[in-house]
Amino acid sequence: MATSLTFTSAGFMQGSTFSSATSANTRYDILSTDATYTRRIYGLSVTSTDAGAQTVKFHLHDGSASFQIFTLNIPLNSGNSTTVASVDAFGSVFGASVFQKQRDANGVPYFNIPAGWKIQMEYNTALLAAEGLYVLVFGETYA
Amino acid sequence: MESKGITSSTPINTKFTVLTSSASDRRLYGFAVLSNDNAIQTVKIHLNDGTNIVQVFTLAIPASSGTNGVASAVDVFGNTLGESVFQKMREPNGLAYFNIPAGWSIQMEYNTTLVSETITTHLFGEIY
Repeated sequence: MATSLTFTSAGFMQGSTFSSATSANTRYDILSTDATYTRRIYGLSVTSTDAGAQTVKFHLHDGSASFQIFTLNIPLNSGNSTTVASVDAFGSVFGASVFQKQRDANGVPYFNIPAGWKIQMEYNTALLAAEGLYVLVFGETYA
Repeated sequence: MESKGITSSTPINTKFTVLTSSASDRRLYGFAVLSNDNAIQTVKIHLNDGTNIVQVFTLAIPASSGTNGVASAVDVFGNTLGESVFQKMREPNGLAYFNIPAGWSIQMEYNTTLVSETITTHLFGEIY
């Protein structure tokens, strides 16, 4: 536990696209390692243009090994239809045991990713040529 | 703040920039869309990091939104369909905001040909 306050400064965001060029059941980095700074995550969103549902798994990686966090269903056309929202993976009850345990002064959940750690995702069904999964991870850096 | 008027000169189903990239980080507080189209439009919102484009969400813009005294302008920023991105951070007054890092832009596309109609976008916030 720190003995002094450390504030976040710059925001960060990383976007990832999965397509027929990527492979199902393979872990991909959706938040790359920052070797220097710890980061505070506020959101992880998934959009799909897939005509079928996808099952995705999220993992934390400490630089040596991956540790699965949770598994989530991504309904077809999430965020690609005027009736289906993009999926709030960060706020999902399936991952609440990890992502919803800390709150900032405004009551908003966040999750600290220590320096050297990253987040990975895998999906379970091969994507066809016109299909895609889009992932955004964003927050603030303790820099 | 950045506003844009989209007319028939902008092709349908084509991404165009509604918030230009900046060398500074920015905090977005609002994204409104008006339309004087007599028909509903479906628009897609994207984030662009300068290289890659990530689709955020899709929403309907009702006919005459914000232009006829009956239908409101569409609050894209506060829409539940995109709350997994735009509604995840709050400042001390409880207001939602979203950080756009330097180098990122926001893009939009619409799906039905405009004739003499216009879709107007307004994005606003603060610069760090």
